[in-house]
Amino acid sequence: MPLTWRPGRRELEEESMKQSEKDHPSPELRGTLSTAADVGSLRLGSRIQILDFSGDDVILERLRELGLRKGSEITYVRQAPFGGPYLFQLPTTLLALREEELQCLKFKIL
Amino acid sequence: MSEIQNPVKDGVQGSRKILPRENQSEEVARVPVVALVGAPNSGKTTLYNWLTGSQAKAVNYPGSTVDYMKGELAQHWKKSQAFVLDTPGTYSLQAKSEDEMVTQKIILRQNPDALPDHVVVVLDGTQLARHLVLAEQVRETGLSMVLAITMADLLRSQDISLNLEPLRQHFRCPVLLVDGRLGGGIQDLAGVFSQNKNEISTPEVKAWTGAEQDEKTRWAEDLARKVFQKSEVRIPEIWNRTMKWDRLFLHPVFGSLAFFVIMTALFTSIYSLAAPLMDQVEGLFTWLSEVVLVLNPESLVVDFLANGIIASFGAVLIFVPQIFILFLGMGFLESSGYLARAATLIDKPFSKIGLSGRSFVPFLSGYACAVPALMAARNISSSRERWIARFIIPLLSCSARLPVYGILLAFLFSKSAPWIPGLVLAAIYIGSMLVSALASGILNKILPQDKKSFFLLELPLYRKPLLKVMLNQAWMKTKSFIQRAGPVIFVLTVVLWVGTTFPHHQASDAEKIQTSYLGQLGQKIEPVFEPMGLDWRGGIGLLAAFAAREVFVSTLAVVYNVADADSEAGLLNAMSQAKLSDGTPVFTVASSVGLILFFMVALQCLSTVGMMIRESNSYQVALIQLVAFNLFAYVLAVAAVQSLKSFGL
Repeated sequence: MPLTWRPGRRELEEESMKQSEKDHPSPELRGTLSTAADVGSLRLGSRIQILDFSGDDVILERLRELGLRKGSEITYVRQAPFGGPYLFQLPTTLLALREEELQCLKFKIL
Repeated sequence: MSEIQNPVKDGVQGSRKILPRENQSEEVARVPVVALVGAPNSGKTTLYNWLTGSQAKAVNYPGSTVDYMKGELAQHWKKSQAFVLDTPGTYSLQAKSEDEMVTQKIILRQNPDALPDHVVVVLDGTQLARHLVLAEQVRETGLSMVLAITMADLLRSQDISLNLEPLRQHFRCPVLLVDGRLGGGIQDLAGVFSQNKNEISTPEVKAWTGAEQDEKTRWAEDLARKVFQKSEVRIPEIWNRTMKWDRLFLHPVFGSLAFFVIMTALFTSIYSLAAPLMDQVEGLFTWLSEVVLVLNPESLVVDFLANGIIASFGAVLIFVPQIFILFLGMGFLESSGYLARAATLIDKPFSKIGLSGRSFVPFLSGYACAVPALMAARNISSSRERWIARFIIPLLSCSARLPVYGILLAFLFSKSAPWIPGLVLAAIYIGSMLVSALASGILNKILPQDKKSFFLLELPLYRKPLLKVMLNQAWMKTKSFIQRAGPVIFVLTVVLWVGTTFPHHQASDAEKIQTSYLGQLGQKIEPVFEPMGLDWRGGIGLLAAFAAREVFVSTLAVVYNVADADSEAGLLNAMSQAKLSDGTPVFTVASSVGLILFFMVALQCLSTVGMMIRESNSYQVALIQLVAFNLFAYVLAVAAVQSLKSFGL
């Protein structure tokens, strides 16, 4: 699994966010993000970028406290057995999210 | 609370007077209080152990019941004096569970017993960007702070160098690098505390909006980049080994297998390692009470000492080996990083019955003893789930039931191959798991949904645990258990002694208990026990088991007048000869199975009830639990006994 945390990534992210906004102007206003992929389209090793958060306030706050933000890029590494939580590799940690927690993230697959 | 004034039993304690808080305004030299705060797995507890040595103690937070740890700075750092508080791990000062609330209250100086002068924010050096956000939150409160960056050893192993200047510039506070393995940097950290600024502020925490949180996270990432000076690219290397291990431990087949093997190993070691120690404790107390009894067998005072006081201390301390090994085992699983994987693995199955992976630790502890299990339920974030977990914990087959199962299985299978009772014991354990899953499933159906439930677990690096820290932590928790459960068990054992001794304390043992208050009560309510196939003597055994379940066995020995109470053969013989008033045997297959089922479900442990009242803050819940479980146990036992009887067993 390539784990990248290169300097200058932020610039790339911002560019990519800008590009995404250009392609789909002010997505927030429309309520949905047409670039957003859903949980079903995740493949092992998929690298995703968080476009937005929506859902229960407490879960959103905790997701952010765990180090996620708009523009974060994380890698889907595996799902726990028995249809359990989804595991994501952040630059410096591993997070386990239940499906309903993952649904609070609007993301696109890079 | 008195802990403030009486913190440790170290040599200098007597000569030092800690002044109560109200004297503070008089500007007397006061020992500063330092709170450690940090995310879970940030190395906070290791740091705490380095700072305090082994003299820490768990403190019960008044009003609620969550623990934080408090200890005095160890002797060898005594350039300065300070009390150190170890708070439960938290990701932010916006608490989302009971244990995070404890931390929040301490940092915001809302807990009058734990008012910190300094806050040490413990940051995992390999997680700097993420952990800096918490540091920023603490900075905004205006408290005097210190940043301690841990995992220096890991960073060094990857040749990652840190430039701490940008951090010092932003936070305007001491920033230190500490090594939890070798203790580097601890001396400097301990030195910082002597500069007691004593600025008493009333800190407030600002609630950040989502956008502000995003902004802070970006800022923290930028700052971390300045600190690492491009060497952070090597941090992911640290994770390579962990990723490999996770391929095994989170594999559907091998992961489940590993889970099963590790849990079996934990429980076999709890039982097998603890057994000889428990025998020693029991032997010691039996010897002690015999020694005392010899002094004057006729004297009531001597009898009280031997069978009341000494026996009750024995009843408390008999569980210490087991509890210690349980805590040690769990500490090992936790600090090695496996416990978070086990919780992840079990999350989906548990979610079907209203629990989550976060209930795994309390669930696991419940198989040793319900009291620490109820305590462990605090880190469940959802109050609904916490409620369900606490409700079903007493249904798990705790170790106190083992001696009861032991004697009944020995009676039932005295002539069978030894593996048969073993198999039946396994079936009992699985049965208790199914009953608790059923109870949990029912509660999950009837309780209103709670939106705030989340799992969201961080899986830490796999690391080799530090034995010293683990032993220390396990001992702290064991002490906390003795302090909590001890008095309850002690009082109940004394009450039981009174109940079985008076009013005819001079009579022979069998007569004494038959005519005692408890004996009279047993005979009065004999009709209740009849459907279970028992006479009043079995009934007394069941009543006595409310002090502690294993007391059932020793009470049987007394009421059936077994001369040598320690010999199992003597008791088995007496059991097989015991007759009901109509001449039929008391202990049959039917009544023994009934008893096993009764013990499996019944809530016969008043320590658990006491703990439940404290933890749930409600007499009502504890009472419902007490009545419901015992009623269900009774109905189950009666149904089993009557149907087995109809088959002639």
